[in-house]
Amino acid sequence: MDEAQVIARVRGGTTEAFGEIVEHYQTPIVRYLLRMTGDVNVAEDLAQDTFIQAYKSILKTTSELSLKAWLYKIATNNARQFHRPAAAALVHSADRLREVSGTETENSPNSVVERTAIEEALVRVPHEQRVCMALHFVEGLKYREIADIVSVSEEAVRKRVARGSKEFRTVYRATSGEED
Amino acid sequence: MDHSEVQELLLAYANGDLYRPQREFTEAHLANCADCRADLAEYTWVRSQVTSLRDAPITSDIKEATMSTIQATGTVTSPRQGLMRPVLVAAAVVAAIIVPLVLQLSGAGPGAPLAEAYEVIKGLQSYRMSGSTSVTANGETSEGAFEWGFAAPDRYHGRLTTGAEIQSFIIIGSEQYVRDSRADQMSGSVVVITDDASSPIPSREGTLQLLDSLVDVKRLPDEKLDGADSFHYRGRVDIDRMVDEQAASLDPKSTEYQEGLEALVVQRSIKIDVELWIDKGDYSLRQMRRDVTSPTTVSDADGTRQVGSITASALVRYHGFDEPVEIKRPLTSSGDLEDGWHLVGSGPPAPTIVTSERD
Repeated sequence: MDEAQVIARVRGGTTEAFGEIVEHYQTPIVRYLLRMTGDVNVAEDLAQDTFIQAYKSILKTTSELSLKAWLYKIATNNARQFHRPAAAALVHSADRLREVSGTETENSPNSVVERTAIEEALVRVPHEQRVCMALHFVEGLKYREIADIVSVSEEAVRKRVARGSKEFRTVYRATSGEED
Repeated sequence: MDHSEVQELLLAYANGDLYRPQREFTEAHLANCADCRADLAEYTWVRSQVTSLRDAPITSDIKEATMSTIQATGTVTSPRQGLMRPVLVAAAVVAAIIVPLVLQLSGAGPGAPLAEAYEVIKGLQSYRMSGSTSVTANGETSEGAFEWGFAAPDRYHGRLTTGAEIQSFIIIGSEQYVRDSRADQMSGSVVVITDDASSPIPSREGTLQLLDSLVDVKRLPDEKLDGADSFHYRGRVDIDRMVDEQAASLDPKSTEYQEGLEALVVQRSIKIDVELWIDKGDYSLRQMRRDVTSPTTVSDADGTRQVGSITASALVRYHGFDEPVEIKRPLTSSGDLEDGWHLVGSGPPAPTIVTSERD
């Protein structure tokens, strides 16, 4: 996809061209928002929000960010509005683990259970740290790119990833019953 | 470099992000430090665990739904609007009361001193505003005072005091940072500074639009402000022109077209009277008074109808023209938000795409 050309077509009135952007970026944006919210339905709704906001803004404003970074930035702002209550998250986590363990253990590898535990631990890392961890570890962005997206220094990003990693470890141990 | 400093570097080391001198020093330290080796093993483990989520299957397909929303409405509506965003909803409510129109002004500029003032404001790199506001709704009046600073092109900071409540704001582009003296009031603490001429404390763009929208302008006797002779004008914002332009911009094919027209009918009753004081020496805008009378409406299945009205007055003094103003994000040296501050506001501006960046 030639992004510059697609955006020029959108700005020229060819709304359908924006569909190419949605198609190209929907998987990483939904995946990122899933890491931020822990709920695929919410992630899909927020992803729609993200693309709709992008469409509206693309017609009238400019920024120095790349399209990818800009979409992640909108998604990050949208995710910030969503806070799953901690108690609900705990119930959800326990239920989900039981559900996955109970229904899939016999026919599926332990990796499904483990991945669920990883997802649930990550979603309970504090928001600002989780943003940096998800963008870095899962989305593969560099600290410099993340710094632009969340409007902090690269050093701050590095510290958030470090602190988030420690928190992740602690939460993972607590939720999976793993002992030191 | 001591033990604690090496600990700070361990994650970067695990990621392979260190430059050679730091990497070599870290490795030398690791050879003699069991604690750091344990931490490194932990980071490596976390990295491998979280990175594994890249391979988790994502089967969502939101393209059709997203494009349907965009194409069906013309003016798009968020699928979750009103459900999950109390802060933004609060902003919308405030905006609906105080900023009832989306103003997209064009046309001829004002004459003589007003045109000069327009150009002066347009060329300013910074200025400050201070003044008072008074809003009356349902028989109750709320008084406020504010101080604002502006730095070109899009930075504002300031403070709004209403009774015992003090709200501090920093706006950088689309980022809005808010600090409220009453932490429990956060959900309602949304600054409304917009590019609309009808905003009680308009942005620079809003001020320019306001100057451009005045009709029935009358020159009143000159007055002295802070010892300086000033032109004194009174006029009103051309609401009908704005509503007409707003109506013309609606998409007749939109499912919300009729509803939008009905809402605009009510808005024709908005009245905005303006007084301006312009320095006779340098044509700078020294003071502005605005009195807004606006209907409050409800929209339901029966359409939009007026249920009351609200009056808002603001007296704004402009000063500190082109004096240095530093407006920074409220972040600590480590990049975290300073105590009490919250980041609100809409998304960032769209990019100018000049290079292609592929996954």
